[in-house]
Amino acid sequence: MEPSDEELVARVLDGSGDDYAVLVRRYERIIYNLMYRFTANEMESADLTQEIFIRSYSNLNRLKKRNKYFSWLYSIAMNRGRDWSKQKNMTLQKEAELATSSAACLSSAGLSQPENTLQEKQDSLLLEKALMSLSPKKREPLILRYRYEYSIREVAEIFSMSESSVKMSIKRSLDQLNTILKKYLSA
Amino acid sequence: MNDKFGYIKTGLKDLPEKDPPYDITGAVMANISPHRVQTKRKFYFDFKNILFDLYHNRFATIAAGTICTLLAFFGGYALHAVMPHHKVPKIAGTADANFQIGKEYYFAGMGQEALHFFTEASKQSPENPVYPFWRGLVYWSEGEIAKERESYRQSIINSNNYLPALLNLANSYLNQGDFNQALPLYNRVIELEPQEEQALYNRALSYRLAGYEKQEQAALKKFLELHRTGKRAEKAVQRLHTLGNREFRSYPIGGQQVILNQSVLLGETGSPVLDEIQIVTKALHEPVPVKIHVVVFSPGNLELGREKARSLQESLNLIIPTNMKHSVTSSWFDRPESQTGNRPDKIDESLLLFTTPTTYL
Repeated sequence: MEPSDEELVARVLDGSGDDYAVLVRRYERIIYNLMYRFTANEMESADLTQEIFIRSYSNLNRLKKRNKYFSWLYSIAMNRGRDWSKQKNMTLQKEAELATSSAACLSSAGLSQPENTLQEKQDSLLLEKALMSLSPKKREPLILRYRYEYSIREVAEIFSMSESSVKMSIKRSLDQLNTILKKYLSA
Repeated sequence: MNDKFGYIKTGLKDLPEKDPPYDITGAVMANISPHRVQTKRKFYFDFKNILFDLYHNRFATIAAGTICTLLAFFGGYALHAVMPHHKVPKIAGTADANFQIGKEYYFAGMGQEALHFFTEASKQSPENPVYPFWRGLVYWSEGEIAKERESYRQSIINSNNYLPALLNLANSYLNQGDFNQALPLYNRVIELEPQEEQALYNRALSYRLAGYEKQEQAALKKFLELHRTGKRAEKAVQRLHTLGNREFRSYPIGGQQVILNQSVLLGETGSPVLDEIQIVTKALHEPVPVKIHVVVFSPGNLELGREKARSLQESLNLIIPTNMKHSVTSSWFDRPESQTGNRPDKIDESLLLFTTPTTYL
């Protein structure tokens, strides 16, 4: 049986550094994909993921509840992603100001009927685009909840929110996604 | 109850994931020291135990207090004698070494320390354009715009062709809306490096800010001639459409959006057309065979529409590798393609290109 996060953290803290590799392997994919949603760049996401795991290792002794390793790791990653975006936005501030949403981008392309039909078969592509138009604060709880099937309580812990706030936030984000997707399909 | 978000939830569940490009676990493990956490933890628990003892034992408290006072008194003298300049960071002997140390500090988010080493590197090698450029980056990350620009200027004085400094100085001006200063710098970057993506795109943004619509269109088209992928390319196409120019369009080819120049595909022959078709074939790299639909709208001239559609079909058949088993169909209409958008189309003739999986048909 696979050791739990709690067991692995305890072993690492007791000096078995190699057990950390199991934790990295367990979560590298989810953290890498989270970083990719921030950066849209493979190498940058891989470097950030590496940095996050190194940071988590260095601060592992500060983790109070050992069974909550993933929540803690995810918060570190979210903060790093936000910092990265902030730095990036400083250079591209003007570009962002002048840009419009990807929804508008698709609608102004003047898609005609055969393309629309085709797009119905490309739901996941559209969904990805729609997701990327949400802010990370709205997008990530949705992905954790439905892509990785974390419970409302776990999502609430990661984002330091109450369970009812998470439920409300998820409901609103679904509403927003629904509107965006309808716009895409009717364009 | 019918869940109106059911299709989104299902979509989220099947959301594709990306594979990390290299062995992250290996890279992380190579960068960590297995004893670091343990040592920190040991110190933390030892310290906690000492505090516990002090709290519960009056004699221990007095003894610890006396030891600390003696250590502070004599230890201070000893430290001062051994390391009189301890607070000043050591400077390396060569400019390059200082530069490397500065970069380490910069990436660790320690701006002031980085600045110290970059400045030393500049003193040791005053003609080098790289060191003042990195000083500019530190100032940028700390929001000191005037000093940031001054550093880039110094870098350009040292080498007037130093592209990173020219580009960052231009970006700094553009961020403040100063297109008059930004434009000549972007032009200089493009002169030195004609394919520089950011400079090409931001030059168009500068024209937009200046209100020069014609120049903006020309700059966007120049950008799209060289760059067809990424967010900037999507925005460039969108902006051209808003300006009423539909020369470039985004087409759904093989599960992705591909930007093509429809004016070239409909109006020219020879290598420009083949270059556009090459972009289509690159998008069809997956082994699943698809059917490519070529639809030409040629208002009032059915024969011309047929001729162009057939010609494109032939070119596609010629270029697409036969082992990929894609097929191409063509159709043509003597009416304009219906368009959405606020502006009337300037191009009556238009091309629609899309693919469908062969299995669906």
